Amino acid sequence: MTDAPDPLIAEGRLLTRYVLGRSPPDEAGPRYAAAVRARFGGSPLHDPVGAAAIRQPLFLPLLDAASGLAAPHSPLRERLLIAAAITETLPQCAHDFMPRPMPWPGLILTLVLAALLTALRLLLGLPLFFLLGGRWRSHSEQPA
Amino acid sequence: MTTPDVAVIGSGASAVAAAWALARAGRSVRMLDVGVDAPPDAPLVPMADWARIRRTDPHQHRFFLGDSFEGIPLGAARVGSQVTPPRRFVTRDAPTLLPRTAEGFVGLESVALGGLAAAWGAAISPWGPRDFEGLPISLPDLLPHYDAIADLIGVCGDAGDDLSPLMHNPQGMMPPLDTDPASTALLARYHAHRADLQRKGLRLGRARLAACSRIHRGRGPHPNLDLDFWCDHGDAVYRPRFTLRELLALPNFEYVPGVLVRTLHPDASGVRISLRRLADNTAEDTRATRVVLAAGALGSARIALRSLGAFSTPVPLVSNTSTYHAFLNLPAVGAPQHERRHSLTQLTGLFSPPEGGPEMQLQVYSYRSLLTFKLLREQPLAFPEGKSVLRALLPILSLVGMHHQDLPSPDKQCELRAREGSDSLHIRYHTSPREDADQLTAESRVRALFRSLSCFALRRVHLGHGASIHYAGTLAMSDHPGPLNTSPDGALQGLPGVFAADSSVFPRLPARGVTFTMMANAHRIASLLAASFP
Repeated sequence: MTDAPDPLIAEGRLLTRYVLGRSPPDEAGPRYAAAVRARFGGSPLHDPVGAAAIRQPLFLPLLDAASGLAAPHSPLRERLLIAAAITETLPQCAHDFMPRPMPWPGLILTLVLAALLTALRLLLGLPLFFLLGGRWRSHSEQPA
Repeated sequence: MTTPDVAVIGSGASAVAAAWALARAGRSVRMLDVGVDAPPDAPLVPMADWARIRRTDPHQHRFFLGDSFEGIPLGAARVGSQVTPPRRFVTRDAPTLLPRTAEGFVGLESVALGGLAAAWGAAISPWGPRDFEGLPISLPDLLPHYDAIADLIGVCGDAGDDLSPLMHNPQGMMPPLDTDPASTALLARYHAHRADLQRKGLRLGRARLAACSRIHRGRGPHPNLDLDFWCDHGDAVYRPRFTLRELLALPNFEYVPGVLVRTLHPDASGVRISLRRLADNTAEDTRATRVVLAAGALGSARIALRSLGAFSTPVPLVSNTSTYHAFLNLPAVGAPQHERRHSLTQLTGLFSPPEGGPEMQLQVYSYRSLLTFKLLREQPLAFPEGKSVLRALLPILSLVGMHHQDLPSPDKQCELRAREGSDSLHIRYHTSPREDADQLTAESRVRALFRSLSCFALRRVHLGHGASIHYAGTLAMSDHPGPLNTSPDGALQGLPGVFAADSSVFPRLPARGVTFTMMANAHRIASLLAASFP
């Protein structure tokens, strides 16, 4: 008999991979689950927007972008913050979060690319967010 | 030790400054303190620079996030978010032991060893002559005590910069710490335009810090590891526990932790002190010939009001309004980076409107060591894009704290309210629309001056009144002290033999930080008290 996989660890793997842009180290998922248990009491995302992002990972960047604008303290954004905190404090991933000084051309290119990508994601993400029942400026889960 | 000459209540910055003056003058001193400290199994931050720790330490999450992940700030930004997990003990137990309700006030209190100064940002700003207006003491009264405290805590700064004409440079000031690349670029730009900026009221210089840039009293030099928010490597940045350590080496000093002072009862032979022993929650009395109250502006007010039975009697409360502004510091684009840096205030600014009006103090920081993820929640982009943009902007991001003066008003008060078997401090703090408008105008003018330095404001954050963690005025000193006032020597009216030596005695707060001046004044009051013994 095998234990059922911990849905929080699976959620953690998905979100840390998304934030990092590559596979996270093995400890990322369990540590994410421990953090969610410590701060929220420990259930997987269950609000409509958050659950949709977990069920269908293709939606995750769209709903993240939409939530960043429409509901910055929504459950999905709070969980992504935890995923970012966990990955940033793993030595294998720290470099991905450290300041990256760049000259003017690199800086401008970075900002323009981010703006274009964000616009595209918002174009698709905002309708999806509201279709799923997302609410403007909805609040976070209550921290434990 | 039998009945000591003086009992000092608290172990924060003013308490240790007073105890130091008293003990060095030969008085026997007993310090009564709750004294919450960091847990003995707290994770230790390795002695390595920030970037190396980030890349190599597999246990870094323990001190960066905390064992209960309490260092992940969820919800809206709030006061105390700069208190990192290794320093969380500073505010532990205070809400339980010091119950409080508040309208329009979000401040912090501490019952920790070292008080709120155990997490002090260590910027010092000696007050100028104008800052003493309305006080029964003047700058010359404090000058020798500024020097005594500077020797005690170790102070560094640039004695030849543009702030020097407006700020007393204490004797023995050590050379300044290095500024980081963004602040170096900003200061260079300021120097190129200094005449015009000074005409418009702005002066910038390197921050005066309670930090040792060389070995001083067995502390330092500052290791420049960029870990100042997380630990006290080299004991270079001042904490009251360092003075306590020196005090404990004196035979006439005793430290009693684990007690909460409740009331003071002066009588013919001194002062009876009623306290609660926290280990077993038992009440107990002790005695001292004199008492120095140094439990913080709010804590000392509680004890004084309770001792006098002055329930539901409002006393004034002042607190600097502080706002934080993120600036894109364009002169820093492409500046070479280096690992040798500190995380404290890099630059200090003073803005005095040329046509007159209240001064505003600026403190310039860079953002790096508090970790990038905390800024991700403050930006609206999706996390991957936000991370990419922040990494590019962090080297040119300057955070500027803008600090305003505060004056007493009927809308800024606190009172002790009796509850069944206990009591609670109620704070009511509201600024006037005029004050708010004047502060916004001053901030707007400073932002315009920064624009002329190619620094562009992105965002203003005001965490609420009380977030400056500078409180004062509850037992204000006066030349003609009335009930619940103190005289210029700190004597508290209505409680003979009791002296207030913390920020509670300042009836108003200028824009400049209060901690260094509070310590100097505590040293002054304690020196006068020591000399008053036969």
